[in-house]
Amino acid sequence: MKRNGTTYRYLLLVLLMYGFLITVLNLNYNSIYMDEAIPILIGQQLLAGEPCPGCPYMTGSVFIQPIFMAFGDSMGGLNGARIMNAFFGLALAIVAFLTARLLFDEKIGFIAATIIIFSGQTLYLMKLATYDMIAAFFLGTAFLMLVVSTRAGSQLWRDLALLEGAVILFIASVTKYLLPVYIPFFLAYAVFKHGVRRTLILYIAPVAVLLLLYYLFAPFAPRAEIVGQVQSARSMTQLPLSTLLDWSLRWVSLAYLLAIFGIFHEKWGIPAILSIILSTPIIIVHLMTRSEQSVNKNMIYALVFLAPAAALGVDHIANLFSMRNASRTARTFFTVAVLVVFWAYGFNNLRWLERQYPDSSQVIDFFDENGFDGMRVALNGWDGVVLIYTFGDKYPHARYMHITDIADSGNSGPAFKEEVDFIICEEFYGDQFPCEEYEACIKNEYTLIEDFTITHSWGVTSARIFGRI
Amino acid sequence: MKTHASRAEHLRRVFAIVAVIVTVYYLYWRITETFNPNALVFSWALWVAEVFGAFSTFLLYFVVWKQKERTTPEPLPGRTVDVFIPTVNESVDVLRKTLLACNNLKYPHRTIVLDDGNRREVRDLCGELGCIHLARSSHKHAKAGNLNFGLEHSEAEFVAVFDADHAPLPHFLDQLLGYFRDDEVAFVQTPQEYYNIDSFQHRVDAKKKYIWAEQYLFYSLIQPGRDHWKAAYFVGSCAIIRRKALDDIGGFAHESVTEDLLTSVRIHSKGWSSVYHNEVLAYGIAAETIHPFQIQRMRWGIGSWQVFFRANPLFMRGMSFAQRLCYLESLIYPLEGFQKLIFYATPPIALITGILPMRALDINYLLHFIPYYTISLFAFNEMSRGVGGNLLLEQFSMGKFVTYIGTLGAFLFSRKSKQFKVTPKGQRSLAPYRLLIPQIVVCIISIVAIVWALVELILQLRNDDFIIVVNSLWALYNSGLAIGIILYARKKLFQRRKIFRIPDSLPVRYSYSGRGRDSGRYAVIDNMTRYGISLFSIGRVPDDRVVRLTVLLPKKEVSIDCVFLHGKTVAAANHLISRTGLRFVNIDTTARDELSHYLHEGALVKFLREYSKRYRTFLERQLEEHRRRKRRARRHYANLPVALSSGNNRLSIGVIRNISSTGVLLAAQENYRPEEQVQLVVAPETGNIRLMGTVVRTVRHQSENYPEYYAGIRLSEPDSERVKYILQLAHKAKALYHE
Repeated sequence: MKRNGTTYRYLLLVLLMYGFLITVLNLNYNSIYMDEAIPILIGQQLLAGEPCPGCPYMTGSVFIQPIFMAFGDSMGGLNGARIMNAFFGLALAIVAFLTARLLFDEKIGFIAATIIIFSGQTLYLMKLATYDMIAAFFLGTAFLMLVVSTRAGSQLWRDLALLEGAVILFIASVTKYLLPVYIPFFLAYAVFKHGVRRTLILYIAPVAVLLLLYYLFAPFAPRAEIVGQVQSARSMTQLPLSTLLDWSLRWVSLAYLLAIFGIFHEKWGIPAILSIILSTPIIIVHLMTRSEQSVNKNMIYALVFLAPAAALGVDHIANLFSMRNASRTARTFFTVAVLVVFWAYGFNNLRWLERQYPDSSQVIDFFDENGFDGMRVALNGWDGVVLIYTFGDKYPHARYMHITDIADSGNSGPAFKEEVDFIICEEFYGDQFPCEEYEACIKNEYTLIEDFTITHSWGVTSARIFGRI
Repeated sequence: MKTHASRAEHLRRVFAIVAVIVTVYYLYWRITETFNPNALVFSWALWVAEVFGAFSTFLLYFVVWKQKERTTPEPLPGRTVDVFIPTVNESVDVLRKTLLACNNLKYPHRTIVLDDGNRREVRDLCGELGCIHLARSSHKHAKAGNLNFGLEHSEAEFVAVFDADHAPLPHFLDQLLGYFRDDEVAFVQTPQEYYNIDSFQHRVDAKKKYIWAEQYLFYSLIQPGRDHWKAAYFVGSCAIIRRKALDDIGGFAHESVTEDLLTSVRIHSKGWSSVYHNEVLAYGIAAETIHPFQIQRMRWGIGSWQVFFRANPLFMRGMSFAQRLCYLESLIYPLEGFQKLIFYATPPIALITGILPMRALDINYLLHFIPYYTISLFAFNEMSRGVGGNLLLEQFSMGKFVTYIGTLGAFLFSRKSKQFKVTPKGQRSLAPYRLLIPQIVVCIISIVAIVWALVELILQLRNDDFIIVVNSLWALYNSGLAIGIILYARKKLFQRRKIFRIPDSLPVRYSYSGRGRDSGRYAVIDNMTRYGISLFSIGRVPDDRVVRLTVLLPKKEVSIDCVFLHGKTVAAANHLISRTGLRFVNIDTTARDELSHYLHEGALVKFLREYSKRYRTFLERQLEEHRRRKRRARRHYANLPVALSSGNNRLSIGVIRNISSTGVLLAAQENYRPEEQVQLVVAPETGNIRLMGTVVRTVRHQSENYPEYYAGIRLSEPDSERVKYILQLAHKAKALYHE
């Protein structure tokens, strides 16, 4: 007896509920992260109808995601913003289900959705209010549309799906600065499936026109600023190739392992190869640029494509391990067993990812108690956005500035040209501008009030708060 | 010009060389780069296991490098042949079938039953069937002693040996004796084929008509390979041996429980040659359950150790280097038990203790391991030429590993177990579950270890997540192998059918008294044994009275009374289609023997020919010409009786095997010529579904005594209402076929 589609849809519902619960039950796993604060603040500005010149810097268009985040924030603060991302994560799982169902069948679709939800990266990004999850959703949807365009019943629907796919690919590309690397691969896929003429009209042209319009009319920050940001970020995170490969594969190696099994699936080996190929651009980008920046988060884009192939691999492994036994129980057992292993791996990754960025709660608590409206705080790292977001209402006249802004590098060594009430020396965000450079001035004019130790999954950093003597 | 097959042969050898090079590099890298200094014993153990695997594979590649293909030589008339049937405790029923088949051998011969059980019923059976019965007073040296006792009473130039369950086809001797024109040929061996494909060692894909048996690798690959190196060996049954060669080595070797292997070693060392004729000419019964299977493997394993230590072909004079390597390949296989034990134990140890037999299980390791493993697997699949079935071989290795380990213990320490143990066949002995304990233990330990490690990972007591994942997958694979063998062994234990039912599709006529008339109806055999039959019929077979059944064998008819056992009926259009199980009652010996003959020579051969024993390898698929297949209308399997008549007014009963909207495939006992016009009346007793058609081609099923013809018929009125009606019948009847 074969399980019908309804069973898998119910199972998918249970899976989505699991994903949602595991996310919302631990939304306060960490304090707000800088990349969460920025889009929420921008979104608030945009929702308030205020102009935001230079907002789309670094990340491409920050209009779509910040608005969602700010909306979530207005509903429930940081948790509200994070829950918004959880919905996009669940939507991504549904997209994976639909894609794999179209490429293969309902069962593989369900396994693909399970792989998405069980992956530590997905669960982590579902509760991290950054643009990554939304971008992954758009990327996945663009791929889904491309698949629909090859499977839809009538030519009209196929053409519409192709056109829609082009628009969504554009949106994905302007949501996350790295995603344009997928455009050539998508175009190649479209050409392969639909021929040059149709692809040119319905896919390449719309994407090109939209990108051109965006380039011409989006309110970019000055080019020099963008280039400077990119270069400084990259210079901070240069790693040897082997380390970077290890670091990239850490998050998706199991999915790749399963996807390799998928290639040998008796029925659908070729689409598995295609999925694997489509998963590689993001890794190639990291390897070519030798940049480790956000690799932990970026591997979700590889997973979007790997999930169908990995699901196929799980099915193949289950067939293989059950010795192609006619017993459905044996096959189900091995399917579940492999997914449990994947879940445990993902869960462990999730625990690690939750602690990869600093928990600034102690610093926040300090200012909650000791801060005052109108205070002036210098920081060596995070631009103050975390404090702006947290204390925007409580200390509306507080000013947060970068330590380099108050420093005066004269011939006799650094000195402060401006007095502040507090200086925060922090090792994670601030490792590019270590306080040691200003040690003498700080010691002369400020005293150490608190020395917090922040434990990460990868080690320990400190956050020291100095106050004026 | 090179054919596709020869191109594939060349390419697969290239891949084998590549695989050997990659394997050697991998093993070198493993020993130089990966050993865990904190777990050296563990590291060495796994490495040695890998080396053993590689060495065995290299030896296998050498043995099967080239396959000897032989053509049947001209018959050799006028020689004397004695057929030996050694027996101890096999059932008389099984023996009767074999003796009937031996009596049916066309070549003049004597059939001698060497009855080590000295049983009266066997003596009576021999008397009844005209065979010679010989029984010794002592049972020294088991089967070898029994065969030597037979030699003492034989003057024949050639001796054919069959196990008690192996029934030869009538032309067995005619086909093989011609090889002995070459005076150097000591023996001719044929494959041991088993017809009970529901046995423990068979795996059948009925849909794809593919059949795999654990011993196919040996009979379809290794023996032809050994034949190329002049090292094909005698396997104790289904062979003819030159008496002179046996005299040259002092008779059948009795120093080992595998007398066949040792006899072969001695024969080859004396300079005699051997022949492997790769055509099935006899059918036997495979070990039905795990119990006899393990007894058999235990005996073979012990026998291998005995030969290895007492008459090691490596050091025996008179053999070529290739022959020595071939024998080495056949002697070291019980060591596989230790190798597999290491493979099964490694993941649980790593999962529970966190200790690895390598420095790190990381991407670097996988980047070495995955290419090595993939290339090795590919090369093995190619070199095994479509009979390998790697996964199934692994499953059987799981089933045998403790037995193989036990063979060394038994050889070294136990005197009793070194005695010859007959493989129980034809008796569905209830295999004790204890035989499955090793597999159950592997399964439980593997799963417990996975759960243990995953819990530790979740609780963040460990952070070697990738190691846990990889070992979990490995442990899952091992538990899959174990579960596979446990489930299959269990299934065989509780198999409802005691005797394998041979599928067939002959027409039968049945009648029964009642309702004031004696009905004569036609049906088609679904399967049959000597004790009962299963039929497809249009209409119901009564379940409350004796049915008189006439099996319409080619050239003859056999009538038997039957009683209803079970039945199932489906409504199809205006008819009922039934599948009915009947048991023979009051069947006389002549009728049963006649059926036995037919089943052996006709039905069995026909049905096994429908199955493929090998799959096309990747290279074969890639290299063959992709001919565009002519689009054909979809065929539906059907088993419908038809009355046939042609222009010559020839009338007969046949069976529609399959039907499409444009044609039918007909099994008939008459040979209809191409272009002949035929009329088919489906379900003749109803007489109202008539079709006309033209014979397109005819194929004869090669059975001398039971000829049958398959005729492809193009229908004169394709897509007519009548054709659609029959298609509807066939479609509805599917529910019965797939039971």
